[in-house]
Parts: sequence; C-alpha cells; structure tokens
Amino acid sequence: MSQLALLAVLIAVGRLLGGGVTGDGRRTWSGRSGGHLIAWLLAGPVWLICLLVLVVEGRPRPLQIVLLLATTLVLFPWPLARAVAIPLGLVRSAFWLGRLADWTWGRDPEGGAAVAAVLAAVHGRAPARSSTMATWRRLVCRPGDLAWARERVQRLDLLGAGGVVAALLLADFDNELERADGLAAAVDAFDPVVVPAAAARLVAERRLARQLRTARDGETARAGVVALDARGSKTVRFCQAIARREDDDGAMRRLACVGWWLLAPHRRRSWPVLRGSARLWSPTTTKKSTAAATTTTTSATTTTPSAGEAGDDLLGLAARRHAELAGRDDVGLEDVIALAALWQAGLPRALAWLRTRAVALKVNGDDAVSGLEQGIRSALRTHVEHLDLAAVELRSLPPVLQQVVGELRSERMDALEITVAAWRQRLEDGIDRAPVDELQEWVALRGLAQSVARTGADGRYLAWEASQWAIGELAVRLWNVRREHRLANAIFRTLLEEASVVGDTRAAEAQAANVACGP
Amino acid sequence: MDHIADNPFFVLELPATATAMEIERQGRMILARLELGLTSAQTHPSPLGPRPRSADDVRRAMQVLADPRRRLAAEPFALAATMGSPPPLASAHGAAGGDDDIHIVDADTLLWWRP
Repeated sequence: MSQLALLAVLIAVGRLLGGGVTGDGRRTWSGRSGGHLIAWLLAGPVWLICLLVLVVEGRPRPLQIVLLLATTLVLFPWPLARAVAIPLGLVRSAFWLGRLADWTWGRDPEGGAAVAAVLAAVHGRAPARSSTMATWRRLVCRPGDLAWARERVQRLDLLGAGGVVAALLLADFDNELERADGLAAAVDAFDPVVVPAAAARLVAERRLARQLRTARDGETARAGVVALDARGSKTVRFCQAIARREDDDGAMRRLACVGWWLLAPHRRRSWPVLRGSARLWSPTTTKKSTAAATTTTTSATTTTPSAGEAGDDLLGLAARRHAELAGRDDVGLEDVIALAALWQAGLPRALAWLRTRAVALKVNGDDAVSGLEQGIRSALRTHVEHLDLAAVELRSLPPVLQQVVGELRSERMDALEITVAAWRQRLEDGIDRAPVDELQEWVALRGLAQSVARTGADGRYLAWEASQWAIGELAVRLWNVRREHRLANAIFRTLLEEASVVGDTRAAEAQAANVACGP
Repeated sequence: MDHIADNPFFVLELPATATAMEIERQGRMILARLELGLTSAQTHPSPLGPRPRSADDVRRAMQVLADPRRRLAAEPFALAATMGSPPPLASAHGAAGGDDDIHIVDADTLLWWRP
C-alpha cells in the first residue's frame, strides 16, 4: 500500500516537473508520465553503486558491467540514442531507446521511437565521413532499414507531435520540402501541452536550416534567424546570438555567443562561426544588393511604357524584365504590375507584326495572336504564382493581371474542390486511413486552401467555405470514433483560427467548443 | 511551360530567323550530343539562365518549329527576349567581392540530427 502511495506521489511530482502553464500564461509541454522518476528511483541507486565500486576498486567484475550497462540503458535512453544508435545507423536500437525515453518524449513514446528510427535510418543512408564508418555501415546497416522505419511511422496510433516530426523527417529525406513545411506547420497547430520539447526543438532547428538555405541574401537570412522561435533549441539560440552580434559587437553580445556556443552541440564545427572565420550566411553586400533591388523595383514601378522611351522594343523590354524578375526572390506586386503594363504596351505592335508575319508564312494568324496573349499571361503567371495576394483587392489590379489571378484561383479552387469531394465521399463511406495518412491528407488540403487564400482578399473565405465541412467532419470522426484526440484537437485549433479570421462566428463558436474538449 | 525560358528557339539554340533546314540540322546535332552524354548538351541557355534539356525537349522543339502556326506563336518571344542588351540573370545576387574568401558553414552541420 505504502509502495503504491509512493508511486502516486512520484507520478504527481513527475507531472509537476513536466510543465503545464508558465507564469506568463504560455502553455508548455506537460506530457511526462512520471515513468522516468520510477526508473531513476529503481535503477539510479544500482547504477550509482556499480559506478562507485568500479571507481574505488578499479577492477571491473562481469556482473558489475552488466548491471551498469543495463541501468545506463534505462536511465539515459535518449542520450544513448542520440550519441550512439542514431549516428551508427542502428535503427532498431534507436527505436527501442526512443521508446524508453519518457523524460524526452513522455506520453508520446511511439512518436519518439519513430523519430529515433527515422533519424538512424537516414544516418545509415548518408555518405560516411570516414572509412571506418563506411565499413561499419556496410556491415551493420541494411537496405531495408529505411523501409522498416517508414513502417513504424505508418503504424503509429494515437498520433502525437513526435509522429508528425517523424513524418516530417521522412518528407525531408524524400526531398519533398513543401510537404515537410506543411508538416512543420502541423506541429505548430498541436496544443503546446502535448508537444514534447524535443519535437518542438527539432522543428525549430529544421526551420533554421531551411531559412538559411532559402534566404536570398545574408540580410534576409539574418533577419529570418532572429525572427525564429527557438523553442528551447540551443543551436537556434547560438545562431540568433551570432546574428545579433553582427549589429552590435559589444561585450554582452559576444558573451551571449560564447554562452550559447558552450551549450549547443557540435562545438568544434561551430567554433569557426564563433571566431568569425566562417559565417552562417553569405556576407552579401546586403546593403548594396538591397539598394540595387530597390532601384530596380522603383524604376520598374515608375516606368511608363511609351514608344518614345523604350523605342520599338517594348516587348523586348518586357521579356528582359521578365527574365530579370525570374532571377529574383523578392518580386513584389508592384514589379508584376509594372511588368504587366510593359507587356500590354508592347502588345499592339507585336500583334501587328504577327499578322504580317502570318501572311508571309501563309498561315492563319489568329492562333498565333491568341498564342501570344496566352504566352504573356503565362509569363506573368510565373511571377503571380509566388505572390501572396491575400490582402489585395483583385479589382484594383490591371485587367491582364486580374485575368491571370482569376485563372490561377480557378485552377486552385478546382484542385481544392476535387480533393474535398473525394474526402467527403470517403467520410460518407466511413473509410478510415492510418493516422499518419490522415495527417498527410489534412496537411495537403490545408496547403491547397492556403494556396487559394493567396489569390486575393476573398480567397481565404472561398477556401474556408469550400473546405471547412470536410475538415471538421474528419476531425470529429478522429475524436469521437478513432480516439485520435491530439490530431483532432490540432485540426480543431486550425479551424477555430480560420473561422475567427474569416469572421464566421457560428463556426468559431462550434470550434471553440471542440477545442475546449482538450487534446 | 515558360514561353520564354522553354521557347523552342532557345532549346535548339537558334535565332528566331532560323530556316527549316537549320532547325533540322541543329536538332539532330543536339540529339547526337545528348546520346553521347555530353554535359554541355544537357542544358540550354535562356534569358532566365541555363535550363535542363532532354532529348524529348529537343524533339518537341523540332516539332513545334516544323509547324508554321506553332512556330509563329514562338517567334515573338524568341525575338523579344534576344532583342537589345542581354538581361541581368539570376546570378545577380551572388556573394559580393571582398568577402568571397569567407567560408560559409552549412547549417546542417550544426544540427546533431543531420547526418
């Protein structure tokens, strides 16, 4: 009886240590089950005694070694997975160590195990840094390891943030970066109370790497890194300290860099960055290139295409502007409006030339005329596709751009509606899929809805109208029938946010009630 | 398809004034180079920078230019994109001089979970 009471106290203390709501009202992870306390209580003294005896006697005995190894596995499963099993590509060992890591993954042990298995499988596939490692991988890693890890992810039940991170890592490995971005956003949708700190850190660090890889110049990379939510990642903190040091090289900033460098892993690799002999982002003449870009934009915006200014080469000017914009990542709406004006200004002369040429070639010029117009729309579309027009009234755009955005929206709405229809049919037929597949479908649908939302001020509402029923039904089914509370809650949370943004008060009330049911 | 970057004239590296015979000869030559696996044949220049080129792309470009109506639709973009001074290309935002020798660390190497 007293043992049971002690157990209850330990679990309660474990939950207290696990988190909950911070002083400033932020919800934090509270998923530790308290199992680690029991493990420490039972295995800790044995481990300590074995270690002390070993140090004092200096002569190891077989039983001592066995006990020490066994208790080390129980006490430090995640550090062992990180330091040994994952780098060596030991997929199954990493899986089981992840499964034991209550301190790290708490009530999402399957998710943590899947993360460890995927990471080990990915390490097993990576090019070895040394000949010893290459030999090791040849001997130990098997071709089926990655498939095994994929199967673990596929089999996940009661999906938590750990499982989502495992799916994200697989998407990253498959080089499906946009899908991985969507999965990272899905982790953010989970109630922070059920997102293990390790999962949040992995997502933050992946964002850091993606930010640094995709930023068009050093200044953008630096600003992006500073704006990241570190979610407790020391590597992100270190990079942020380095970014801030570039603004002000004061003693406090330098001290912060040293502090985070000491705390972050891979200190030998990050030492050159700390010292300043290497950088995390290109030292592009941020100021120079920004100034150049601004000048280009301004000139593009203020160009009033006229035959006098541009000579007879307006179409050529438009084509060159198109090529110039295609080489930039910071194309804004003003640039595209200016480009559309150039195309339109060059069109009459081009059409006249085209008709003359059609006569020379003895063909019907109408096809070529519509082809030219279509070509112009297609050229504009390559830029419009990357624009976020969520805050733009379509009526305020030039007619040719309205047409391009309209076509784009129509295509995206079609894709969304077809997906929703298929989803609706599946729900009506009561067909269930593996939780991780449901997650992937939800993320894909969310991506489609977001792409519609980027096509004008009313795009978000249109996407909401088209998709909310199907998504809501799925979430309700996940909650009521399949007991996938964490995933369902994440979906309810996104629905609540969308309903609030588009001003659908009835839906917002319903979703608030759903969210209140908890994860 | 980008009517400018993937314009058949650019795929075949020909001017918009090329004759049918020139198109045929150039297409065959590029196909032969592709068959030999020459890396220079695997991309073609375009106003938007080098673009990948496959044998299918070359055959498609030859087909388009063999049809007068489709050729007519491709000509204005080929002419427009090559008129005047060459446009500034995507490489405009590379590293700037002076600091080029500074080593850029790949962020992946700082993450424990990346191989």
